[in-house]
Amino acid sequence: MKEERKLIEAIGMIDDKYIEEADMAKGNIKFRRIMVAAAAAAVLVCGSAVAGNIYIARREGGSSTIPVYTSVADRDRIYKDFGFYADLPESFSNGYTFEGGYKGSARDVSNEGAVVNSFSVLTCEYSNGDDTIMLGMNAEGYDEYEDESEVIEYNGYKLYYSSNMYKTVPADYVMTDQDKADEASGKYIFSYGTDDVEITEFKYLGWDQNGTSYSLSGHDTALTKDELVSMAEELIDIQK
Amino acid sequence: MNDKEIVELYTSRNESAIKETAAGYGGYIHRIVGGILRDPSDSEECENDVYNILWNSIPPEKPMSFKAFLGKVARNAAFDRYWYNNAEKRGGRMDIVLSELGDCVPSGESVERAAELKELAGYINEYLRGLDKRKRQVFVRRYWYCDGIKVIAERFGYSESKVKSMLMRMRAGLRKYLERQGIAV
Repeated sequence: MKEERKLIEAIGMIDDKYIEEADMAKGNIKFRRIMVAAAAAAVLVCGSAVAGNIYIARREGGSSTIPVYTSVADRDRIYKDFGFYADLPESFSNGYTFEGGYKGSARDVSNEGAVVNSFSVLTCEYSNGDDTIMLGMNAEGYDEYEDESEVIEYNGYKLYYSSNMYKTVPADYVMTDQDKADEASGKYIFSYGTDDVEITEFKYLGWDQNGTSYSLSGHDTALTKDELVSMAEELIDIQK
Repeated sequence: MNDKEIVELYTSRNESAIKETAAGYGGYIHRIVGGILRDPSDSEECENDVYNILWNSIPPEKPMSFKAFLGKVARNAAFDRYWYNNAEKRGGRMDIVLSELGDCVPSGESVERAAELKELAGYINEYLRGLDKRKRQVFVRRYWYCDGIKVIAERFGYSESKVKSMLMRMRAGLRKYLERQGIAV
């Protein structure tokens, strides 16, 4: 047992982030697609497609239109308000500047419709001219990123990038047969909560760091994948 | 009370630190200790040890992540008690966990223990970093938290055979990785 004891003791010394990550691990939930709440829009529900697995759930969320932060909050304030630590920049080096932070809630729903988890999310808006992107944060992690995500590594963190066409519709919208076919073929991902039907390209970059899940996302944003990655790298670098 | 405030209680030698730790993390400590020590009275004594160790460790320690720190304290305290209790006995549930890990360790040479453990931990971190998140979580649940196969299967929605298969592959991967690094423990 001597050798095994050394190994078990060495495993006891692994990085805190892996211990926390495993502590947060939850089962029976997989997400094929995840979309963060758009803070500046009206209260909305994020529809996320249901994947073909018996354990599949969807993540729904809504966000207030009234900011909880009108200036950048420090990590302790964020911890107090949301239960996770995050360090936020006033602005990114590419000029995107903090506009506001919005509190939202999200919940994970099983494919039987039962709410299996609920939690708070913080969504911060960063703008540059007419272009706006959302920095989403929560403490729940993403159990599965969509299979077709591109993985980019930076300083040991895996960043998951995807770009999809979203058709965002009013909450009472009834899907047509063509809509159902488009959803089935993957042409559009349907989301709910806008006043009018909108078709947009949704770019998304997500990663987990020190127990907090981050995402940078935008509809029809001018930012390229590489620019989003650069912003993510800036964020990763400033986390204490 | 948040973690920072609890740590401040320890730092200022305020005895309510213990009470607040128990209120916030008593269940977490209990689960870690209970996963390693199956005897309830042993576990209870060990949990008391954990609070004493925390009290004596902070300060000088200033943990960045209080939860991870106390988790490590709990795990180490439980294993210390386990090693002590099982110096002569063999065949328990933890021995199964340990024997699985024995497959990963190239046998042979020895080096200075402390440096060796630190080096080994560094390589394990590297190995874990290269794993997919879900696999890493399963590995850490099994070999850090010492969860049973059934518990892991239920947590992740996998069959027990899938969990066993994942663990077997990861152990083999870890062994190869350690061998490539020239590690012999």
